[in-house]
Amino acid sequence: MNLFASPPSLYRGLACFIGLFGTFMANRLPLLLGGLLIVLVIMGIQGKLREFARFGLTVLLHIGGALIVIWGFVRKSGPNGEHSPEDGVLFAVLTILRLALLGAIFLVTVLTLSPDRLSHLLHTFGIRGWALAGVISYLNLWSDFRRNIKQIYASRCARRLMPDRSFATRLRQMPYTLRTLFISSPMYSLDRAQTWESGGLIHRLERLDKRTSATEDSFQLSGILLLALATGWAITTTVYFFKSE
Amino acid sequence: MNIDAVLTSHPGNPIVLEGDNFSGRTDLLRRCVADRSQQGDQAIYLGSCVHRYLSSLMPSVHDELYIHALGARHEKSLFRFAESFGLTRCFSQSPFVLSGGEQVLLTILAKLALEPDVLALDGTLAELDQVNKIRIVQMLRASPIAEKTSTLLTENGYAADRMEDLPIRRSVGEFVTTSRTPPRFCASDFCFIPSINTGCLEAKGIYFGYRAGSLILRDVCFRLQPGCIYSFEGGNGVGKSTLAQILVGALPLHRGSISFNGRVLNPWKNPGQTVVMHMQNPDFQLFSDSVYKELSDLPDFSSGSAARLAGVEDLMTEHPFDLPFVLRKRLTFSIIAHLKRPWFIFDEPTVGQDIQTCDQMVAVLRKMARNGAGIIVISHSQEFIRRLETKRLWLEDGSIKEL
Amino acid sequence: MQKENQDYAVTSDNEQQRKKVLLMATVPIGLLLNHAMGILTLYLKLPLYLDNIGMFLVTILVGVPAGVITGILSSLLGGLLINPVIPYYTASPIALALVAGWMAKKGYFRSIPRAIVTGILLGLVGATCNAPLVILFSGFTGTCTDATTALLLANGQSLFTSAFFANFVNDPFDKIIQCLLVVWMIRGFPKKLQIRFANSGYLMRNLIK
Repeated sequence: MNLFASPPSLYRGLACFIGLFGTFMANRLPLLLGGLLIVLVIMGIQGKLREFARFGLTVLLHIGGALIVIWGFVRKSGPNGEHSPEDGVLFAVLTILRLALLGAIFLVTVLTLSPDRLSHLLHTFGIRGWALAGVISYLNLWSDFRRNIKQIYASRCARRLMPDRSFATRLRQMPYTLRTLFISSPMYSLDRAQTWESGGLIHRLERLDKRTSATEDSFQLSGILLLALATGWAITTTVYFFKSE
Repeated sequence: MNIDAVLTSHPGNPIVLEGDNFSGRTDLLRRCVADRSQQGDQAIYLGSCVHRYLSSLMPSVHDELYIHALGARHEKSLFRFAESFGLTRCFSQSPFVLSGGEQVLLTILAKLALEPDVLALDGTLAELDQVNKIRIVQMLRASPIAEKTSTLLTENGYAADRMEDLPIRRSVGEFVTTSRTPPRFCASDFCFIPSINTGCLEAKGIYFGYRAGSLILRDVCFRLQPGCIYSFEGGNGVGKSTLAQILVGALPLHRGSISFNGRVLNPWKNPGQTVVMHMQNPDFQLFSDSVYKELSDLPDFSSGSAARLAGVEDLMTEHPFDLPFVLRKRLTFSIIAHLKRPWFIFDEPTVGQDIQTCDQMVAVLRKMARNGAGIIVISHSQEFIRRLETKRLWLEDGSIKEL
Repeated sequence: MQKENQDYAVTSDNEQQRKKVLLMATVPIGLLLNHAMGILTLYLKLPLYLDNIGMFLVTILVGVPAGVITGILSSLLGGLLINPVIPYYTASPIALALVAGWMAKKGYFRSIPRAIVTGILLGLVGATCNAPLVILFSGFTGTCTDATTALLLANGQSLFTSAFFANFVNDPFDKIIQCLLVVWMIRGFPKKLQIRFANSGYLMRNLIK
C-alpha cells in the first residue's frame, strides 16, 4: 500500500471536519504555527502549494494587514481588555493563522479530490440522485458560465453597446448581462435536466460512483494517516484550550 | 399521414424532413419525440444550439462520452469515431470550451451512445464543415452504432449544400398543414445608411491563444478593401470567430496590429467603433424585453427599416426570446446591418434560414458593399459564399491564405 | 408565437417529475449566479455582496425548499471555491430564503417600492444571522463590512458592538440592490419561461399583469 497515494473520500471528509474543529479550538501561536507547517508539508507532497499561495495573496494578505493595523496600531489592545499593542498584534496574528489553516485544511482534504472522487465524497455524505447531479453540474458548468458571461460582453461590444472599457461603462453592462444570462441559463438548464431524466444519466452517475468506490479500498493507509493527523490535532488543541480556560 | 409510419418503414435509416422556415418541422419533431417518450421509447431531440444538451455531469470530453457509453454495445466503436472526428486531442478539456462544431460532434456521438429509438436533429448539423457533415451522415447510415436508431433530420439553406448521402426525403407538408403566413425577410425595403468613414482594414502579425503556450492564430496578416465582401473560411475550431472577435475588440490583441485607413487602432479599448459583428448565437445579442426596445438603440429612421427587414413589424411588443430561433437570428442580423459603421462581420448568418432568406441576405450584403461598407462573412455554406462572389480567405494552421 | 411556447421538453404528465426537473435545472443556475456575483463584487471591490441573487430567484421560481437548498449548497461550495469563511454563514441563507419566500408569496417583488421594503427586511434578517459569526473571526472576513467594522473598532467600540453595527449598516443596502436586480430580471422574463414556472414558486404573483 502506498503511503502517498490519494486518500479515500470518506477519510478526507472526516479529516476535514475534525481538522476544522481542531482549528477553532486552537488558541496558541506555537500550536497554530505547528499545525500550519504540517499541513504545508502535506500540501507540498500533493503539489498544491501554488494554489495556497494564490489564496494567501488574494484573501489572507489584506485581511491580515487590516487586522494588524486595527488591533496593533489603532486599538493597541486585544478584544478582551489586554492593554498593549503586542497583545493586539498577537490577536491579529492568531486570527490570520486560524483563517490560513481553515483554507489549507479545505485544500488538502477536499480540493485535491479529482471530480469523480468529489462526487463519491458527496455521495458518501448522503447527497445522492438529482441533488448530487445538481452539485456536480454546478461544478462543471463554471467554464460554460464564464464563457457565456464573456460571450454576452463580447456580443455587447459587437453591437457597439459597450463603447469603451471605463469602470462606469463596464458597471452599466451588469444589469443587461445579468438579465440575458438569467434568461438563457434556465432555458438551457431545463433542456439539460430533461436530458438527465430521459437519458437515465443520474443512474449512470451513481454507477460510475460505485466503480470509483471499488477502486478506493487500496488507498486506505494514506486515509488512516490523514485521519490520525487530524484527530491528533483536534485532541491537542482541545486539551490546550481547556488548560488555558 | 403519421410520421411513425415513415419511421417504421425505414428502420435505422436517417430521414430528411424537407420544408421552409415556419412550415412546422420543429413542432413535428418535438411532438414525435414527446409522443414516443410517452410510449416508453427513448427519443431525443437536438436543436441547433447543442451546448444545452451537454450533460454537464462530467468534467472532460472523454468522461462525457464515457458516461453516455457506459454499458453500450458499441462503446469501443464510439471512441474510434471520436478519434476519427479529431475529438481525442480535446479529451481532457471541458466540453464547454470546445468550438461549436466540436460540440456538435461530441453531442451526437454521446446521444447515439444511449442507443435511442428516435433521434431528431433539428438543424443540428448546420455548424459542421462539409467534411464532418459527411462523416456524421455516413455514421448514421452505415455504422452499427446507429443501427437501432431512427434519425430525423432537418436541413436548411441551399440545395447545393445539402447532403447527397441522404436519399430518404419527405416533405413536412405530408404530415402537417399550416395556414399561418410566415414573417418575410425582404431586402427590397432595406435602407442602408453608410458610415462617413470608410477605409481599408489591415492586420499585421496577429498572434493569439486562449491559453499560454497554445496559439490559435499565428502571424495573421491581411489587407481588406472597403466596398468588397470577404469570406473567412476553414474547418471547425481553426479560429475564424476568434479572429473576428479580435477585429471587433471583444478579445484583446496581445501581439500584432490592426489599422483602419492607415491609422493603428486599439479595438479592445473602443469595441465596435470600426468593426461590428453579427454573432452566431443570437441569444447573447438580445438585451431588451420587447422587440421595440431592442430596436430603439438604432436611430429612429433605422429602427423601422430594421423591423421591416427582419419581418417583425407585427411583433414589436413580443419579447425577443419568445420569437423562434430563426426570427431571433434575423432580428440580430437586421440590427447589425443598420449600424453606421465602416466594417461588418457576419458569423454564420444563414444557419437555420431557408433558401429565400439566404437569397435576401445575399441581396442585403451586396447593397451594403455597393454603398461602401466592408463586409466579412464567416460561413460553411459554399453556395452562400459563391453567390456573394466573395474574395476568399482560408484560415489554416493559424494563418490566412488567399484562395 | 403561442404554439412555439408549448412545453415540449417536459414530456411526463407526472407532477412530481416535472417539479424534479425544475429543481434540477434551477438549483445549479442559482448556485452559479450566487458565486459569480460574489466573485465579481470581490474583484471590483464594490461595497456589496450580491451573493444571494441566485437563491432569491430560485425561491421565486421554484419555491422555498429549493431556495433553502440553493442557500445551503451555496455556502458549503463557496467555502470550497471562494473563501473558506463562507460555510460558517450557512444559517443566514436559510433564514433569507424563508423570508424571501414569504415576501414573494405576498407579491413583494412586484414593484420597486415593495422590493425596497423586502430588501430592508432581508437586510435586517441577514445582519442578525451574520453578526454573531463575525465575532468568531475577530471582526474581519475579507468582505466589504470590514471597513465599517474597522472604523468602529478604531473609535474604541467593543468587537461585539462593532460587528453588529457594521452588519446592520451594510446588509440592508446590499439586499435592497439585490431585490431591485431580481425585480428587473423577472420582469424581463419571456413568456416561454413564465409558462414553465407558472405552477411552481411565486413568479406569477410577482409579475405585473
